[in-house]
This record gives sequence, structure tokens and C-alpha cells, in this order.
Amino acid sequence: MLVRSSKYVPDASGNFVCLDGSLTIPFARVNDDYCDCPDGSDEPGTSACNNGSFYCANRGHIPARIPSSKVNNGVCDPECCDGTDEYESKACPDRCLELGEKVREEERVLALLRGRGARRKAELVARARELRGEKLEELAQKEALLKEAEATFLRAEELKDALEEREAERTRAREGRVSELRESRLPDLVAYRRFLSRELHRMRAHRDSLILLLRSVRTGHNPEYNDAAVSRLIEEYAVFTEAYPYLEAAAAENAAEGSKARVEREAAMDRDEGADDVDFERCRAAIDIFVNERETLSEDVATLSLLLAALRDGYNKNYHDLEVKAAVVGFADYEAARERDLAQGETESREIGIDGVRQRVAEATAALDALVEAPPQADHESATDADDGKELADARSAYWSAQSTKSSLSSDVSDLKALLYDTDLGPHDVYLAVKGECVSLDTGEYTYEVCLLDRASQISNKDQSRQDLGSFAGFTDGGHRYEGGAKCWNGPERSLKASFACSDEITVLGITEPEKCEYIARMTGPFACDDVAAVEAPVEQQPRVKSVEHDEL
Amino acid sequence: MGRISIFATAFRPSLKKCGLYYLRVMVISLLTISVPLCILHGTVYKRTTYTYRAALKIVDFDHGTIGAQISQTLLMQNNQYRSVEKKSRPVWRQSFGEFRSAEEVQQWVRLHGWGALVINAGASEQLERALQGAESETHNPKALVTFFLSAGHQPIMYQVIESAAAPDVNKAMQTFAVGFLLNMIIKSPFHTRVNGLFHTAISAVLLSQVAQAAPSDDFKTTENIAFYLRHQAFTETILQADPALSQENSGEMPHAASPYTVVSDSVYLNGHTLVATVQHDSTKVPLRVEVIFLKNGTVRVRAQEENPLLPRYDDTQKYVLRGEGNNLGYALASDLKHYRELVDGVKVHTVRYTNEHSAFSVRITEDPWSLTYLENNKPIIELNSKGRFHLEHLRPKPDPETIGDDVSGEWKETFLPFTDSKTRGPESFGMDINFIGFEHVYGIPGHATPLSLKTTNNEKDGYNMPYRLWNLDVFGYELDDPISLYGSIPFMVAHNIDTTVGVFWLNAAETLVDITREKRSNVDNDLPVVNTHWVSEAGVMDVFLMPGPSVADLYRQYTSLIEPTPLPREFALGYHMCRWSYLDQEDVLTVSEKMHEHDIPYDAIWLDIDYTDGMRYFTWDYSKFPDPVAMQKQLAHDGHKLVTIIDPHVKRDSSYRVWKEGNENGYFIKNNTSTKNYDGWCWPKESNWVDYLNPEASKWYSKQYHLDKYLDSTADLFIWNDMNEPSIFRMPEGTAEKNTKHYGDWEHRQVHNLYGMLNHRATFEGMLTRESPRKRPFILSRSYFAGSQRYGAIWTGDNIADWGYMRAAVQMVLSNNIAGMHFSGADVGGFVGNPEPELLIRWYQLGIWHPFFRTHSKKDTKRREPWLFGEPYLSIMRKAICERYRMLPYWYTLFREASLTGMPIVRPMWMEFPKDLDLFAKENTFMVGSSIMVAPSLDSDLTKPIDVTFPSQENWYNMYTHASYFAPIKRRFVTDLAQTLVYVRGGSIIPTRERQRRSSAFMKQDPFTLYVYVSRNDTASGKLYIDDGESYDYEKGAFIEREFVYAEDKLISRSSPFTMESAEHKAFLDKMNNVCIERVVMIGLTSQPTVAIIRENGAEREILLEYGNCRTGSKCVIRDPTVCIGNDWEIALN
Repeated sequence: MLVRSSKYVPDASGNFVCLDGSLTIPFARVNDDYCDCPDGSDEPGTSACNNGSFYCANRGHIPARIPSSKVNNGVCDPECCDGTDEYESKACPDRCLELGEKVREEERVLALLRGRGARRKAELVARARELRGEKLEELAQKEALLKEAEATFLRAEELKDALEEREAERTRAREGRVSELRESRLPDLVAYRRFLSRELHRMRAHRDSLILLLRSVRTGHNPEYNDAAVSRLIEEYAVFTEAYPYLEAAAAENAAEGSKARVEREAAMDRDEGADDVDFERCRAAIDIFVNERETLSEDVATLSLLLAALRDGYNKNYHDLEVKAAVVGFADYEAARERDLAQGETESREIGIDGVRQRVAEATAALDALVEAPPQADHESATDADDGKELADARSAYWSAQSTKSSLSSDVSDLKALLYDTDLGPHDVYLAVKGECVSLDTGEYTYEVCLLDRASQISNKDQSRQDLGSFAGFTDGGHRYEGGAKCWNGPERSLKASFACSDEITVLGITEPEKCEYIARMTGPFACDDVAAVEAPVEQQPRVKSVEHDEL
Repeated sequence: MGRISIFATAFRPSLKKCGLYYLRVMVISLLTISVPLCILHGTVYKRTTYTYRAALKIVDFDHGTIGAQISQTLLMQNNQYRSVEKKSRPVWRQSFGEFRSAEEVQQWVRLHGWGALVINAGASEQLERALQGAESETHNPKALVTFFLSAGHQPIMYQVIESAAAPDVNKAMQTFAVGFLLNMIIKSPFHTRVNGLFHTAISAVLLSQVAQAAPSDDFKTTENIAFYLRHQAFTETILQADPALSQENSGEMPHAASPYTVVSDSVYLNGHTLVATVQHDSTKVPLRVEVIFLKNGTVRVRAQEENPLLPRYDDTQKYVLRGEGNNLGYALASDLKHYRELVDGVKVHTVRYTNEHSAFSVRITEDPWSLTYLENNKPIIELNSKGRFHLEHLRPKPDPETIGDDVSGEWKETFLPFTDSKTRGPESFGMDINFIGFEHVYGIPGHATPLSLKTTNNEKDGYNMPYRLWNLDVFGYELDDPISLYGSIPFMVAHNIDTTVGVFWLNAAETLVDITREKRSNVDNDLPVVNTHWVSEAGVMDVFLMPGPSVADLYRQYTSLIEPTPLPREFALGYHMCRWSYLDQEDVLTVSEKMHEHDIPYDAIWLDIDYTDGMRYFTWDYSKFPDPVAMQKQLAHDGHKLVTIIDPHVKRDSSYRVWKEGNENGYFIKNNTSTKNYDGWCWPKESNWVDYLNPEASKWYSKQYHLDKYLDSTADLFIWNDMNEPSIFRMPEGTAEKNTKHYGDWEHRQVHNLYGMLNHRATFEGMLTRESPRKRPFILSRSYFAGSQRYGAIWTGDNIADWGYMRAAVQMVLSNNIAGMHFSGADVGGFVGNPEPELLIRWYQLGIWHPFFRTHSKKDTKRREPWLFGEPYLSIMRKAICERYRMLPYWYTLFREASLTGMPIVRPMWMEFPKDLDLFAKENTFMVGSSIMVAPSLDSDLTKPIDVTFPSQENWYNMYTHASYFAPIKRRFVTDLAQTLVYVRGGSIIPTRERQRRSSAFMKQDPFTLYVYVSRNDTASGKLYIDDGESYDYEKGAFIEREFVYAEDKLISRSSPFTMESAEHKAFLDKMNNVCIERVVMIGLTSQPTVAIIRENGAEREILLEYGNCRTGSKCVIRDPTVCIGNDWEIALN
């Protein structure tokens, strides 16, 4: 091959200097299929250097440069339509004229399209200019209206504040009544809470003793007697312990601690709880919980008593299972103890007049709830109050309405300002005329919709449900980014990147999701076209393909 | 990896105001629970004193898994009753039928209660259906569970209880989600098509949970394996009878308390087989023990009943052994001598085998029966010396009365909801195999465990359970755990400084291997012993003892049984690009174009399940792939192949040809009564599985790969068989039940571990016969067994993008190589999760040194094609991939060697340096062939130094800097991201191809470069093998195999002794006529030559060694010697 480029001529001493200047080699080593130069520049015509490149003249078409790894690899690389890359096998014919003609034909069609696109773009720019004028006018109007609305709002606010102050005065008075009521009824509440607390202590002890009886039967009975009543008891007790496995341990622990420790523990509990006696609401909450626990406890005691009662009535007296007999005796003792406790409870009730206490507590609670919860407007105490209420309501309603008018205008103004002054609408406002315009593509399962400079969505064709793919977040390389869409589970927020090819129409050509929840849209539109002036110059003068430097061989 | 909360998304409860009360209804979606602390009334009182007394009800209308699990978890909370810090918890109480509807619960909460959690009717079922994809579109997860909480009595208390109860509910839901979803998804390994909400939510759970708790309750532990427990019980009785056996330092040869003895006068030598009758003292069932002698020193020991009640499964050998086990090269009867002796009152038989190569003997004692393999009169392997031999003889089923509870699971056992009824009854067997004088044993892959196998009776520095061999799909498996994974090879190697021996336990049923270590007092010192105990559930006991003594001997012996790895299709050694999934035809071609654009070579691009028409394999989804043939043609034009996935499950769909044919011909696995197809669930939902044990079915399946059956496939398409353990969703341990039936009325129990290999084999047969003349197939399989190496490559399954899994990849690939499964690799980058670029790069740098090199990633991961990371990452990844291509001649030559010798391709250090004790447990470096040592960078901390031990007395060279190290020496290195530590052993000649192409297809005519790494005594040698890379013509001589030798300043090339002078050889030489050596690089020369004299074809020419680069110790380039690859030549340095 001939070296025609000025760079590939031997120097005075018949040598070649690598293009990066790093090495001088005999000129015979240029293109000798051995890589000498570190920059690969001595082998532009072979595949010897991995970092080299090969130049195809491609006469009749566009010249190209390919990595030297594609030289003589047995493939007619389409970039080298003249087939010179496979010079060793000469297997590749020169198809440059044919291809060049085809490409030029395509180019002509494209040029027409680009022409149309450019004209459409010019129209968009012209329309944008008009629109800007219109919008500026609208802005001036709205700003004037906003000024008026602000004044109206201030007047309404003054009136409302005055009336509210009057109302607040009254509320303070009522709060005084509330706290008075609370203070006066607190002793009743405290008495009731303490009464309940004592009752709970007793009931817990009841449950503990029942559990211990049952436990001893379960662990100590003699299975060889095979007493049906005992088996049933064990079975049913197992259901209970399975559901509340902690209770048995707790009962055992309590039993083990001895009566002194028990009294101490209960006293500590009482001291703890006593902290609530200083405040009506806290005390009331405690009572609610006590009542709840009492329900739970009586449920348990009833359940467990039933089990033991059934044993007592049903066990086979002929068997001498000491554990069972002990349990039956224990149960009788328990029942007697329970009777005593109940009696003691009744005595206590009488002593503190529990019925009266309960009655007063209920009344106080109801009264307080009514006071706290009732809205001031509904607090009819007199005709004057009612009138005042209406006056306040009207003032408030006027205030809200003025505020809403003001903020609606204010947001219109700031939207317009943002659009006209702060939004990137592309060169010459080209996007102003199409902002918000939506185009879509049906891909079978879904329809994708891109609303220009606004938002992108995925719409299910099955149920029309809409998935947000993001809002416009800016331009990248002439394309659009839509970001911050609906979040994917364990994935990113959905987003879409749109790239544009020149056309007079705005369309979506294709959508892919190369990775989870990140969409790529191929689109067309006039804003991707050149300006009319550039397009209408003769095609031949358009250097579409970057010219390749001719280090040709 | 951090834990990912599944409860990340807040669900705002609606707050409804009604009169005096606030009723707060929280509707809780399964995976979104959040309880905002709502401050309505100002201060939140710290009411901890009381809260614990508040009772909350659990109301279960579902009576399914959700209810059970959640109730249980919540009730467990109550156990905190007494502990002070948990005082603030409300008490959960189970409701026993007091409510009839959620409305009643709501009413109760409003009037009386504090709160209630309602598990709605049908919740479990609904969830399950949604997960199966049946109703994923319409499924409303919020309808599963409802949580009512009342603020009615006291708004203040509401907040307190809410803040106390919500964590309980959260925890219960999480426990449930993990348990239930793992059950559903891991077992059905997670790939279930689950839409939207669920899919990703579950993956979030799994990503965090799997890494920490994968082999959860869904997989068996030894407590769930009845036959293993029975053998443990047997062992207990032995130990009670002879406590000495359990001592770590037992005496010499311990006298086992085994109840198995040889029947008097039953021993006789018949040709190459010694036959003995052994029986249990009390059962008296006679067992026939055969000791079969092979010519190469291998001894095969078989045992089963003399007259078994039913035939035992004995066909594993048919599928595994060379020539179906019919001709194993038996010893000549004349080389065997049988001696009878009386030693300490016990009858002993010795068979001495002497031939021209070796002399060894086998000793059998009669009472109890045991066998010792002696080499040079030193015992090396003992059978039953610890008395663990036990064979459960087949027996008639006793009447149900006598079976009783069958607590030992002889006739029936259960696992989770599954029942395994065994019509054949117990038939398992076990035996101890003990390696005398050894500390290290290796092999029995595949486990994610260190190379040197750990003891299994010791959790501290070992495991507390045996190594298990039972092929399973274990998504995101745990590391350093002897659980079974996707494949298994029951081959174990023991090595010490004198000898390397092997044991091959030929059995495809479930097998467990326990390993313990002890020291035996010896005359001179303590003799280390590795005791192993093998237990298999079914089949014939069949074990091969291989004496080595060298590594090469051992692999000759082993591969004479199972055959070596054949030469692969050459492209298969290139770079494989895979992802689940490349979306469509356009995506595939774009990725391919991008690879060209970024100058990154690759050989094959892969399609995962989504390319099919609804998971009907052998079909295409034409909406995504409108013209598969055009796509394959375009790829092929650019030098690339396409690999498509074909799984062994067949979608049950009468309009699907493959299922229809399979069904009509009865080709599927049958249920346990053989009455109908065994129905299971996999990707395509309802599926059936081809029964490859049926020869007709296997043949029919093979044909599906033919170009006229697999429509729109071309000869440039290759295959990937996944899910072939087989993976069956929602079955015990995610695979077929043991009592399902195969052809010949065999149970799955007997053949399970063969299934993946038989699927792989059938595919191989099909691909082999789709073209004429035949071309070498390439098939990747996930499941494998001994013998799988004949059919293609395997990979290590669903790993995770995590540094630990990359380290495990080193262990697993080496372990597979030790067991003869050479062509293996791990998913580079990790299948699950997104690797940081540093991890991905390090994994590329490791992956190029594994025999199989593929990147793969799961569906919901980020794309990770190299150009997506930008610089400097892109260049470093490209450099690694190009390095693989540069080294392809070396790799292909290694595969050639393996195909002849059975030697591993990647090797643990001890294999190359068998006398170096320090290396026996080393796994941070490994050898590629015998010349290259790789010290991979496996740590996220780039500053963490890597310690490299340079073994032997040789010098080593850094492959890239040529820095040399004079062994034995240890050095410490820190590598930046672009650096890798690869060393060449002095004395090696490495052939490379330095021209970078788009794929291996375009390198076939490229010239070679030879790197000569000079040894300490100025010599070197190496090999190069080339052929057409795709046909079987090499069998007729169409290959070039050269030996390069450098000595006395002369490098010569000569043809190897394997070279065949044939017409095909000549033709291939002609084809390679222009392929020459373009460069010879001499490294480590001690002299300073100035000129190279080249002699080739009788001509002689000189090349000046120039640029002054041939200084001592530096590299010296012989520029363009143009000696051609097919010729003998000589280059003399002066």
C-alpha cells in the first residue's frame, strides 16, 4: 500500500517517528504488521496495534476510521464499505457507491423532513413570541387585582380577630369551671381508684391460687388412674396456659415471694399508682384501665374456677390420687377465701359509700366531657351568645373567602412570573407554545403519555390506572428529564428520559425500561430541528458527518 | 448489607371523629405498618404503670398460617410480663370464638376494649394466590389484617397503648412476613412472578433477611432427616459398647464394637473380586461384600443383601461411570494373591496386588469386619475401623400395629406439612471411611465452605452438622455452612506430604458426611487421622478407594472412572454477558453494539426466561423478539453467540406442543402411586417434569433442541439449563417429593442427585445431533453430579453482590475442580443486589481466572454493563476482560490437558506444591494450571494488604511488571483498583494472543506471542494446543499441539507426542499456514544476548535484539521472528 499522507513519509534518514514522538523506527516497519510504536501509530493499515486505528477512504461514501481490532478479522465491517479492512482475504467487495447512493437518497428524504421541521419550529417560535406578549398583559391585570384583594383581606382579618378575642374571653371563663369541677370531684375519683386497686389485688391473688391448684394437678396427678375428669381438666387447662404462658410463671413467682414480700410489692404498686391521685384526668385514665383489667381477671377467674368445679364434681373418688384430692380440698378453701374477700369488698364498699362515689364520678365525667368536647359555637347559654356566635361565624367565613381570593390571585401571579421569567423554555421560548401538550404511545399493555415540560405517566390499558413517571426536571443534551415519579418498591422513584429527533410532528416513537423504573423515550419534535436559515442552505454544504482526518494510505 | 425495613412506607390512618369518642381504625396492609404517634391532646402522659394491664384481643377469622404465626408472636410478647422495662406492654389475649364478625369486634372495642387485631377470613389463601400471580392484579393487601384501637375511654391512653402495641404488631407482621414469604418465595426460589407491590417488598425482605437467615426452617437440619438420626442412634450403641472409639486419642487400630462380622469361611477370591458374606450379630441377614480390584490400584467395595427382598437401585453407575461401568480395567487375577492369617485370634485376609507399577494390599478382618487399604505396608484408608458400618436390610412392611408411631421414620416421616411415606421401608446404609496419617480432606462439593473440610462435631472451629449432598435450589445461600446447594459430587480427596488419596462414594440418594479428627498414638509421634462417616438413604453401597500416590495419579484413577472434561467449544471460554433479562431484540443488539463501541470483547449474550412465550420453553415471545433468526444472524456476523435458557419444567398447557407430546407419551415424572403425572409449580405455574430415566423420554427431549423442533433457533444458539435440581416451588425444600416415581418404578429418593445431570445430558445429546457433522455443544447447567463435566459447564447458583460471596466463589470453584467439575464459575458481580463498582471490578479481575466467566444479575438490579460506570471503572473492566482474551491460548491448552489427564484447571496451592505443609489450607491464592498463581484482591478495603506466599525453590514473576521473587518467600502487597496480583512460575512458557478482537471467533488467524519465564537454571517449557474450536475433527488429528522448550540459550518448538499424522492433521496445518509467532518475550534472562538466530524449514536468519531492552533480569523482546505455529523451529540467543 502506498502511504500518501504527509505524516507517513520517511524522514531524511529513512526513519519514521511515532506520532507521539516516543520512538524512531526504520520506515520499513510502518505497516509491517508488527506493533512498534506505543501509540500504535506505525500500523495504521494492520491490526497489529490494539490502540491503532485504520482509515477507510470509502470513495463514493463517507470516509471512516475503525479500531485496528476490526482489520483482517474476517468480517466485512459496514463502516468500511470499500472492503479495505479485509485486505488480506480481499473477501469484501467495494459497496461504497451503492451504499453512498442509498444514504444520499435517505439524506434527501431527511432533508425534506428537516425542512418541514425547521419551518414548524419557526412557527412555534413566532407563536411563543405572541404568547409571551399575551401572558405579560395577563400578569399586569392580575397584579392589579391582587392589590385590591390584599386590602379586602386585611379588613376581614381585623374584624375576625376582634370577635375571636371576645370568644376567647368566654372560653377562659369556662375552663375555670372545668378545673373547679375537676378539683371538687378528685377525692371521689381517688377513693374509687383505690377501691378498685384493692379489688384487683384480691382478684390477682384469686387467679394465682387457682392457677397453682391447676398446676399441681397437672404436674402431680397420677396418670395411671386415667381419670376422665382429670384428663379433661388437663386438656382444657393446657389451652389456657398455651394462650397465656406467662401467667403460670407469674403465679409461681408470687406464691414463692411470701406474704411479707407480697404486701411490700403491693404497697410499692400502690405508691406508684398514687402518683396519679394528684390529677383528675390521670386518675380517670387509671380507673378505665382498672376496669378493663378487672374484666380480664374475672374472665380468668371464672374460667379457671369452672375447671376446678368440674373436677370437684366429676373426679373419681375411688382413686386415691392425692394430688387431685388436695386440689379439690384446696378449691374448697379457695372458695371460702373468695367468699371472705367478697364480703370484705362489700364492707369496704359500704364504708366508703361506693355507690355514691361511683355515681358522682360518672356525673363529673359526663359533665367534663360535655364541657371539653362541646364546640364553643354550640355552647348556647343565652340568646346573646347565639347572636355573637353567628357574628363570629360570618366574620370567619368572610375572612376565609378573602384569603382564598388573595392566595388564588397570588399564585396566578407567581405562576405567570415563574413561567415568563424563571422557566427555561428553550432557545427563543420554543417550548412556550407546546408546554403541557401531551403525546402518547400505546405499547399494548400500557399507554405512555408525555406532557411536554410537565409530566410523564404510564397508563394501564386494562384499568386505566395511572402511574406517575415523574415531573419535568430539566433539559439534558437536548432531551428532557422527568423525575420524582411514583416510588418503586425497593427501587428508585420512577423517572423518564426523553430524547428527540427532528420532525414537524411531536410523537413518541418508542419506550423502554432498561432497568427497573427508569424509562427511556425516543421522541420527535420540531424543537430538535435546526433553524430555517441553516436548513435551507444547500444540502451539499452540510457537513453532517464529522470529517475524518486524512492520514490515508 | 444493612437490614431493609419492610415497614418503611407510612400508612396514615384515617381519624374519624364521632361524638365523644375517637375511634381509630387502623387498617394494616400486610407489609406496610406504621403507627404515627398522634398528639391530639397535648401532653402524652407516661402511663407505663398501667399500660401493661390493658388487654388487647387477637381475633383470628382466617385459621390459616397468618393467624397462627401472628398470634404466636404476639402471645410471646406477653412473656415479658414481669420484666420491668417491658412493663408498658399491653397484654395480648387470644379470643376463642366470642366474635362472629369484624363489626362485632369493632363494636366491642368501641364500648369495652382497648384494641383488637383481626386477621380477616381467607387472608392466608388470598395472599398465597396473589403470590402465585393468580390474582396479583386485583389483590388488595390491605384487606388481610385489620387493627382496631380505641381511644374511646381515654384519648390519652390511646396514644400510650398505641405506641406500645404497634411495635408488637410490627414485629409479629415482620416475623410472619419473613417466615411465610421465605417459605413461599425462597423455596419457590423467589423468582415467582409477583407483581407490583409484593414483588419488590418481598425482595426487600429477602435481601436483608436471606443474607442473615437463609436456610431457615424451609430447609431440613439433621433433626429432620430420619435415616441420618437412625445411623446416629446406631453409632451411639457402638460407642456405648466400646467407649474407646469415641476418644480423640485412641490406640493403634481400635477394635470396633461393630455387630457386623464376616461369616466363617465365606471369603474367597474370584478373579479380580474378593467376595465375603457379612452379617449383623442379631439380624443375621447375610450381606454380600465385594472387593473389586482395578488395574490402576483403585479398589471398589460394594455391599448389599445377598438376597435383597426388593432390588436396590444400582443404575447410578450406568449414568456416572465410563462405559456405564461395564469395563473399568480390572486387575489381572494372576497379579492378586490371597493370604489368610490369624492375628490376635482374629481371622485376617490379605490380598496383595503386584504389577509393574505398584504394590499394595487390602486387609480384611473378620470379627468385626473391617477393611484396610495399605500402601507400602502402611495403612492409608480404613473402612469400618470405627464400627459405623450399618446397612438397613429391606424388610416386609410390618402390620400397622407393630409400626406404632414409627418414631424413627422408617416407613413414614414428615417435614413441615409434607409427609414422605415409604413403601419400601428403610434401606439406608452408612460406613466410616478413615484416612490414616492425614489432617486435610477436600472435595464433596458443592458447599460454600472453606477448601479444607471442617470437622462436623464441633461448632467452635467446625460445624455442628454434617456436609449434606442433596441438590437444592437455595436462593442467596448462607456462607460457611455445610448445607446442600445446587449440585453435589461425592468425591473426597485426602492429602499429606507423602501421598494424595481419594474416595468416591457412588450414590445419588441423599447423603450426609460427618468429619472428625483424631490423633492415634504411634511409635514415633501422634498419627493424625481424619475420620469420615458417610450415610446414604438408598441404593447399593458402592465406594471406590483410590491410592494416588501423586495428584496426577489420583486424577488418572478418578477420571478413568468418570471420564475427564472434554474439550469445550472454544467460544465458551470467552466472556459471557448475561442478565435476567435483556428486554428484547433491540436491547440485545444495542448492548452488543455498545460492547463494540467501547471496544470490549465478548463471546456470548444470554437470554433468561422472559424471552419465551409464557415460559413455554423452545418458543419465543415474538412481541419482544420479532425476528430471532435475524438477531442471531446479526450477532453471529459480529462473532457472537446467543445462549437461551431452557428449564426442565414443562408448562401444563394442552395447547403447548412440548407438554402435549410429553403427556401423551407418558414422559413425565409420576406421583407416588404412579397413577398420574407429578404436578408441581414453577415459573410457568402448573408444570410437569420430564423423566430422563426413561430412555425414550430422554431421546424425545433431546430432539426438542433440533433446529426443526426448536423453531427460530440457529446453529449459533446455545443452551442454559437452570432450575434442574429440580427446583419445584412449594414442595419440601423446593424440590420433588422423595416418593414421586420415575421410570422403572424407582422413587425420586434413589435418583434425586442425578436429575440435573440427566437433564444436562439430554440437552447435550440434542445439541450434539442437531448438526452434521457434529459440533461441540455448549450447555450451562445449575445442578450437577459426578459425570456432569462431560456435558458442559456449571455455575455456583444464586449468589449475592457482596464481598463475602466473591470470597466464597474462590472456594467453590476450586472445590468443584478438585471433584472433577472443572468448567465452573460464579456469577461475576453477584446475582442478587447491586455491586459497588469496586466489587464488580474485583470480581471481574477474579472471574477472568475462573474456567467459566460470566456476568449475571437479577431482574430488579441496576444495569451493570461496563460503560455505565464511567471512568476509571470502564477502562479497568475492559482491561480485565481483554486479559482473559489475551490468555485464551493458555486456557484452551489447559482444557486440552484436562481432557487427557483429568487434572483440575484451577488448583489449590497444595496440588502444585504437595510437600509444602503451609499451603494445605491456603485458599487466598490459587493456581491456574501449573504456571500461573493468582492472588485475588477480595476485600473492600483497598488498603488492606494481601499476603502472598511464593512456594518451592523457584523464582516467580509478576505477570505485568515482571518483578521477580525468589521463593520460598512471603511478601505483602497493597493493590490499587487497577492492579492485580498474578504471578508466573519460573520455568514456564505461556502462549498468548495479544491482538484485541470483538470475540474469540475473530482471533483464530491471529499470531501468537510467547512469554518465556526463565527458571533459576535458565530453562523453561510450555505447551500450546489449537484446533478449530468447534468440531470433533481433533479426534482425527485436526489439531496442532506444540511443546516449547528453552534450554542452553535455545528456544525450540516441537510437536507433541500426541500429534497424529493424518489427512485431517495436514488439512488443519494448511489452514493455520499463516499463523505465526509475532513476538517472543524473554523474562529473567541472566545473559545479555544481542542477536537471535532463527532456524525454520532448513533456512536460517538473524534478528538483532534492539532498543537495548535485553538487559539482565529485564524483559527481552524478539521482534517478529515469524516462525509459524505448525512448524518445528529453533531460536538461538547469542
